[in-house]
Amino acid sequence: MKYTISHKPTYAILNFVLSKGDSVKAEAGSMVYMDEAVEVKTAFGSGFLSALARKILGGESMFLNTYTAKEEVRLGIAPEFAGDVQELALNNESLILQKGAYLCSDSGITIKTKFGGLKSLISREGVFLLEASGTGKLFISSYGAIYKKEVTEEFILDTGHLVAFEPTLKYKVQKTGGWKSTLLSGEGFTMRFSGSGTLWMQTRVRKGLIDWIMGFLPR
Amino acid sequence: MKINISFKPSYAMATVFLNEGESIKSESGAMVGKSDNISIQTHKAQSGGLLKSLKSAVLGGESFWMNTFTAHRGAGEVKLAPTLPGDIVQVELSNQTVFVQSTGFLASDPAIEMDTKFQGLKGFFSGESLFFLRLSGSGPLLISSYGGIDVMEVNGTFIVDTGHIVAFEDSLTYEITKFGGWKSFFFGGEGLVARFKGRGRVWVQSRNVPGLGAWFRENLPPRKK
Repeated sequence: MKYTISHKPTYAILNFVLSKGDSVKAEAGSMVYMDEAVEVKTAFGSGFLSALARKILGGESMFLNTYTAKEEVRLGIAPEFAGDVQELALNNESLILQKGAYLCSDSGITIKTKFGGLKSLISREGVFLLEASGTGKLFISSYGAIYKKEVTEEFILDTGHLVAFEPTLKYKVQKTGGWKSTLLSGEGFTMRFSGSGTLWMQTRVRKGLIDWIMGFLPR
Repeated sequence: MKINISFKPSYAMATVFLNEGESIKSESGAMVGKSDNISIQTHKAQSGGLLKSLKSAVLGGESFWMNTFTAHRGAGEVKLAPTLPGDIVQVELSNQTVFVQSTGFLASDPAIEMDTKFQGLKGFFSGESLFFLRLSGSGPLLISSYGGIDVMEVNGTFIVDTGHIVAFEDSLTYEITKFGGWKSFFFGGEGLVARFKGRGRVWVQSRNVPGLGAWFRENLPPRKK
């Protein structure tokens, strides 16, 4: 499986060149173009209940398409929204994703919905996360550019800027400073990560765009 | 005529350098700025009858009016940009024809003829208002997109999601078909796709406007009556 990512970071698109027998699993609706010699299978993500949970709770489509090359083919995959695409590699391990961050992966990687715990109830970005696990390539998407941060001690992240993190990191949802800062600083709630691992963040928040546009709409 | 494209792919702008006597035709509203010695003439989108321009405006999604910029008393420049954030690509036509998605036309050499190709039921069923402007002749053509533009060489059969087509050469034929089997068609999220056949180039954009619209509809409150 070969690929390039063009038009980074605003309108990133993944351009695969698949060899015969290669498979890519992708979020429904993300195919931009492909050669004809591709077999397409549409299936519930990882079993019906898990797919349903992902649709209702995880913010992704219930369905995933699997593209399998019957000969050498081109396949273009892009997220729906403006933003970046980042490649990650999993080696019999898992990664926690913000809902909506999953774009596509090797067919061997499974995607499940993960309850973020009561602590996440107060965060405005929602309670549910996705868990990707297995071995192979995983491609995540964002609104804004994706920035990778190695956390060694503690790091505080605005909840809306989360894209993905390694499960070796623990987190708590917390106020930003005192109550005055939480309510007035415009930062709302933040996630305090601790431990050692990698964290991927996005440089913009979709909710921020919507709030900004809402300010201009007639009442 | 020389054309520079800067700020690709998000906020692309074309700077067209015209020698004395040279012209460029652009969709109305696309001008960012120009030299003082460049004149603007506003005219119907198409030479010929009123109906032809009206057809382009109604079916082609293009403005009824176009502007032609011409350099007088020496050389000058015109800067052009499309409405949406996105890319611009220059296509050099050499006595040939390309079809451009209705809103993808930015500017062209005035020698290039423009007409609307009625797509009939093909366009009607696509749900993406799939009308194409037919551009033929010789000279530079500027196409614009939402998202970045990639050019794909087709030799055989090539499938493109209808919302991602920017332009294609007339050496290709296409039909609108469902995506994969029935299950993929209903649940695969792609709906209808264009199946290009033959040998030629297709320009695809990395994002699509109907997708952006759907996202805004989900997140913004309903329009008041």
